Amino acid sequence: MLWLIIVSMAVVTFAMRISFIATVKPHAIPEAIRGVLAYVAPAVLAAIVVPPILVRGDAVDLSPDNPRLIAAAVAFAIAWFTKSVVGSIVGGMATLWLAQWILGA
Amino acid sequence: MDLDSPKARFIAGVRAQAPALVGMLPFGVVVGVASAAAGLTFVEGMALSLLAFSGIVQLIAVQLHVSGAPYLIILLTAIVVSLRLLMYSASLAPHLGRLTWREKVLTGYLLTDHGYALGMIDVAHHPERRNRQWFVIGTGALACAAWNVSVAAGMAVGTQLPVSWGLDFAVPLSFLALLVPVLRDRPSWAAALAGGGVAIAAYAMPLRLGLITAVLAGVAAAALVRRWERR
Repeated sequence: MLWLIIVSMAVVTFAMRISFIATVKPHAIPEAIRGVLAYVAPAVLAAIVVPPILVRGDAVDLSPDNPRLIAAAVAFAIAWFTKSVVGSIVGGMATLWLAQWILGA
Repeated sequence: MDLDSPKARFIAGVRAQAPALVGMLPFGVVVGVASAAAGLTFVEGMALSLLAFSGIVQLIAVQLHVSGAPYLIILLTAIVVSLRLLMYSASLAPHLGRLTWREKVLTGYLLTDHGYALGMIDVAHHPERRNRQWFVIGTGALACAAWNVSVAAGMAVGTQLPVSWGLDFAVPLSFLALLVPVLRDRPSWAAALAGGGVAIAAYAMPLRLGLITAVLAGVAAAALVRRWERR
């Protein structure tokens, strides 16, 4: 059963990744669809990023004593102004630990 | 050296991927810990990691398996959360040109969230460069090596890491650092705001359908803003 799951997960991820890379010729995708696909990345990334920042337990926490919100705001600012991926992640984690320590959360 | 050669492009991809490891390594450890906690042996956990090579799919598979979910539910959930890889594939394909079968298989196995984002940044900054597949393969090769080492470390450590360290937060932080550079115009801001907002609103949807709903809402919002801007 577990090995069936393992093999199935491999088939699913590989099929999704190789799908269009293996089959579609570059110009076969209409311009209208290409234009929209350019916005898949911000939509997916935001949808992955936002819930772990704002959802605490079962509720949305937008208050300033949510340490993950503070850490994410600092990480966003660092990424925005310095364009540094490392600086953003390190700054975000450092802020999280500092905020958790100060807020006692 | 020819900057467009496969080797040069591969090295450029490895270099572009390197900073993202800061977020990826803790993510891998978290997934390894979760796999060990779900009762997978080292061989089973590493087989899943090497074959599926997707943190989100690995997490979901072990969590649902340990909770006794039926096989079809596990399969459907994996397909739903992996749909973004399909969209990445469709979005990236026009920028790759003609590939050999070996390049297709390598790109197909190694395409990650980070590799896609870096590939699209490469398209924006160096639209004229050839052999972009080798740039993407470079990002994925380093990611794959680092990923499997970190998952192995997580499985070895097991459940001894303190939860209060909040290492799981490195996961959204690593994706946040990728989100910022793609917020380049009004439609992309609309996509992110709608995607993030709906992800919150639809958080409790069954089978993690919330993620797909959020993505579709984000893309629709971007399309609307783009149309409105062009009027």
